[in-house]
Amino acid sequence: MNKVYHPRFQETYYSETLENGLKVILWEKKHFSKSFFMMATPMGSLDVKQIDEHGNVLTFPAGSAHFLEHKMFEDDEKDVMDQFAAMGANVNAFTSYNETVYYFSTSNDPIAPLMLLLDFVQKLSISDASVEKEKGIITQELEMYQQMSEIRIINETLDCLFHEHPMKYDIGGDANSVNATTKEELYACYDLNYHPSKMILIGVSGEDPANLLTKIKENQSVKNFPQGKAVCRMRYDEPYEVKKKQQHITMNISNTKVSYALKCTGIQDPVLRNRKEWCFKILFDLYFSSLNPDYQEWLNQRVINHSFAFDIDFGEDYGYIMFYSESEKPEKFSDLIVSTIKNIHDIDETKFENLKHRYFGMSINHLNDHKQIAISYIRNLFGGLDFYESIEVIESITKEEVLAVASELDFDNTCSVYIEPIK
Amino acid sequence: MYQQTIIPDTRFKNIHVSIRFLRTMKKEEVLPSMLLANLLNECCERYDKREALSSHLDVLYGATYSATCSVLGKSLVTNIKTKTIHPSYIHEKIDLLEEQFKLFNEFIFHPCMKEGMFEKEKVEDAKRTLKDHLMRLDDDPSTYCMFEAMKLAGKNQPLGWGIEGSANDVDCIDENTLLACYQKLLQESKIDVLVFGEVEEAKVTNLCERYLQFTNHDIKTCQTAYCLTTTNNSLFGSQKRDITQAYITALYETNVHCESDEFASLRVANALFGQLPSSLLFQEIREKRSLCYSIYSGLFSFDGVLAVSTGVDESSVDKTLDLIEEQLKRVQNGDFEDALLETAKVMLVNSLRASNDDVDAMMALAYRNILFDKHETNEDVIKKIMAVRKEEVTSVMKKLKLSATYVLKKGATHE
Repeated sequence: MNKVYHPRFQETYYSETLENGLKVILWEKKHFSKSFFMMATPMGSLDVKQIDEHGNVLTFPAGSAHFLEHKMFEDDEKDVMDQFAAMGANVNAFTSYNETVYYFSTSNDPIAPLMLLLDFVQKLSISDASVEKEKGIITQELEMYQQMSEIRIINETLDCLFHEHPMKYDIGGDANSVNATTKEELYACYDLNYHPSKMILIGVSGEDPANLLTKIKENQSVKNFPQGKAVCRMRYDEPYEVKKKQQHITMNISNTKVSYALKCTGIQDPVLRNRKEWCFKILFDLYFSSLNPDYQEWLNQRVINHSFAFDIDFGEDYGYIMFYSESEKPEKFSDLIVSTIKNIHDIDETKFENLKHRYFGMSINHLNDHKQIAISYIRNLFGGLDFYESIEVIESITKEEVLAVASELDFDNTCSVYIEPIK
Repeated sequence: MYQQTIIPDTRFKNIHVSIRFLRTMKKEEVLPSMLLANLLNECCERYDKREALSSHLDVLYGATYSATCSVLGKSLVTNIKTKTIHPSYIHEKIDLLEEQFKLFNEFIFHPCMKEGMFEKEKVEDAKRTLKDHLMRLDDDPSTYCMFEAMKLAGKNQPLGWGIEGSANDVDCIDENTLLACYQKLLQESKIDVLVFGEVEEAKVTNLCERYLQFTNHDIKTCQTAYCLTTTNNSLFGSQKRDITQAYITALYETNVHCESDEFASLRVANALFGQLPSSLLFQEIREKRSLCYSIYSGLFSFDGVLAVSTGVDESSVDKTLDLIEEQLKRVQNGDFEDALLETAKVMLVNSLRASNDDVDAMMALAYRNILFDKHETNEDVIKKIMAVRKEEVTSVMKKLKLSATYVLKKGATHE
């Protein structure tokens, strides 16, 4: 086991890659009775098209990764959730754009649920009937999210931004794609993306890491896996321009919701990508938060309210920046964003340095949280980044770099979505 | 005039300080108290603009400060809290703990006032924030359905008071009401200072004495937990909304006080009825019949209420309501496997042990012990949970009475 100790954050973890390729991270959290384990594959909702080792393009219905996540909990003999519950462990899973994650937490001995996690994620056993049955549950789940205006505005904005790229889809797909999904497609998805060599197992626990690793190795050594197949996500040649400049919809809400998003090009290098995301975050935290004296004025004028937020997301082949809020003057929202960014000519040195203090404090806070540690580690690994470097990069970012990213934005390539109350 | 409680713990990288003001809830004081919390959350004399506070918190390495007001059974609790990282992570000579207490001093004792009244402009800001918050809650059909059920079941009772105020009512709060609310907060509340983390007790005592000079000489005794009791038959409410899914909330009176011996049985009963994925509601309604994505039951322990909530297709509403009732009958009749009972206990024990690793849960336990003048640990509760027998589960569930059911349906918006 490779031991990694970080003196500044006062944290230790151990890493090892097993013979079958499974990467194992055991994060030491001494004196905690809670153990938290996550197992993840880098297959997310963006994996609608994948390319195999022969160059064949494999197409799956939108939402397949999420559908598969639901079906992984099926077992020939006994419901997987029931088995975890009987052990006093809470199990759950989620699918996001770039990964599918299965996890449990327990304050009891974590060995039995850990073995169960490894076993259920490494076996798929489904029938046509059970796939059909799941469609009703997933449709209700999608309906539920559709009702949430704060999620709807994000999804509608992404749909306006992208022509081809699967970022335009809801993570769970839609009723049509869910109903079109077959058992065979789910098996194909599983075979390509759930081989141990593609996955990571991370545990954050007070248990002895050496003992945990021994048990994990025992579990894996008795299993035979076929040769892993090389497969990668298909890159999209997404058109530069946004798909739709404006979208108006109505919902049963009290306040109008508005978004304004800028489409950007993707960044292939993960280190540069992370750095640029941080530059934008710093810029927007300085200018689109209460650190900016104008922010109060925007609140007073009701162009925004306290629901205001922004989202920055870059991938290899896509990128966007999105601002959204409730507003009584939604027509002024985009002007406010554009004029503010265009008028950024300098950055206050003190605020800039203090903001770095804030980010350091936030990193310390995250390290209190078992789940947060595991998710961050997984996302950094799948994104090609080192856990600590992804945080510490902030220290080396300069004011000039932050100012430079503002000048890259193309204000002619944007879209706005308005969700208005039903009259 | 306050009680100081330290929860020592060296495992976490933060220091949390929470000052809680407890007083009996009066219906007319709920909204003003919420408004006051919003006001105390946003500004004070020294940090009269949010920019000044944000900049200061950044200097303190991303310290957090907040003020909130919530309902606790028959009482209201205003919780003003701060969090900083442990000093071992910084090299600068900033006394972060003292800075936390300075913040409390500024916000509690020196709010934004002019000529003895809260500054009008700041009050208007706080009103807008509160109105937006209330409207946002209403926008979420699941929350709206729950609130409407609470209003039905809790008419003229604390359960209903806590959520009765609407966005329109916020505008009617005048300056004098707000000022009176602030004065009562300082003078009539039972005040507790809770500190969590690796701190020196003597230092905390010293900081409390220096920065928290409370004058709450007129502390009113107040009761928190109670049991909702209604004399009428079960009420039913329904409304139409332009939504894609119907929502159901059913509220039951438990007739079990959270400090009674039976409460452990009720917790186990609720877990196997609808709290867990292995529960009867989840298994029968979601897993076997695919009627919903989410269904759960939960306890409002300080109100003596059990709530069931779900979202289903419009055509399945009646069937789902029947199934909920059917599962309740099964628990009451003991028609469930022993294994489910054991799983419910094991999961509750796991959750209680996990709360020993959770700052908020540990602070909540400490506060609960203060409120009920006890020294109960999670291990004590675990013993009670493990001792629950099947007969106790069935018998405690027989005490349930359906108070109200609310259904939010698809259709044009009208009553």
